[in-house]
Amino acid sequence: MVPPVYFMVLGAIIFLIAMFGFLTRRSLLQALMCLELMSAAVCLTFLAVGRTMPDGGLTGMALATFVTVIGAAEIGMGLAIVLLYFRRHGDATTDDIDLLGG
Amino acid sequence: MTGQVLFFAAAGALVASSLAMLFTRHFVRSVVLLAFSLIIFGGLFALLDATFLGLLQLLVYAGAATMVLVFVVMLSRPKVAAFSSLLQPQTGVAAIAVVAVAYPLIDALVRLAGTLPVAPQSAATTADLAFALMGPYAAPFEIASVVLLAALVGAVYLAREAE
Repeated sequence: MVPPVYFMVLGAIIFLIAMFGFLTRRSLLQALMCLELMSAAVCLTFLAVGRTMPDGGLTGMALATFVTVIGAAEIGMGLAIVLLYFRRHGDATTDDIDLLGG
Repeated sequence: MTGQVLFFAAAGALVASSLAMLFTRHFVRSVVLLAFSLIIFGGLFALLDATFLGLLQLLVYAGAATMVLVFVVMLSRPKVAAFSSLLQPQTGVAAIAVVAVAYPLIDALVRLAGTLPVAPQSAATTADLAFALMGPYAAPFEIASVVLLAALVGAVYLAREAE
């Protein structure tokens, strides 16, 4: 069996790649895609850490299920907001959206 | 041994497709690369004996979420992102932030690697997960379903045609 720590390292690498993408991409859509990749990496880490526990990974699986649910809700809401913004302004980049100041 | 080979092949493909997703110019290509990454994630979950989570990943993320992303790309006609947009002022700050997160993460993993207990021989099955979700995790499970319903209603409300 592959040692679970390998999966944790892989999850960390993918999380960091996705985080870099989230911080640098100007398009809201690509930022959302990076968020999705980040939550998948977190899922992988939960499963890998859970696999080392005496319950055979049950806690990790339950937590990963909830992360998946939150991820699905997030992508649905996020895409609805992006679509709304596109419809009103024709383009959606993270630089243009400054309605709340900052 | 087969597991190790599978893992390293999947890990290489995953890192490559995630990086390619960031650096491609075309939205549709980056959506396809994202779907590819998420399918590999499903395989990795199965490799960790979480077959149900792997299938859930394929259905929810690689299937449904990617489909919605493709629809949004088609409906909104986003401008092709210029590759030079990567070299913007906040790239340096982003790199510093990534390193600031990476350092404690790597530190924790290195310290954890030696102390991790060996994985138990028998993995939890899908039936175990089902009993857990209906037993000790029943309350969060119900709250999760309310969150999904609220997100669904909210998405429909936001994305409806303006009158």
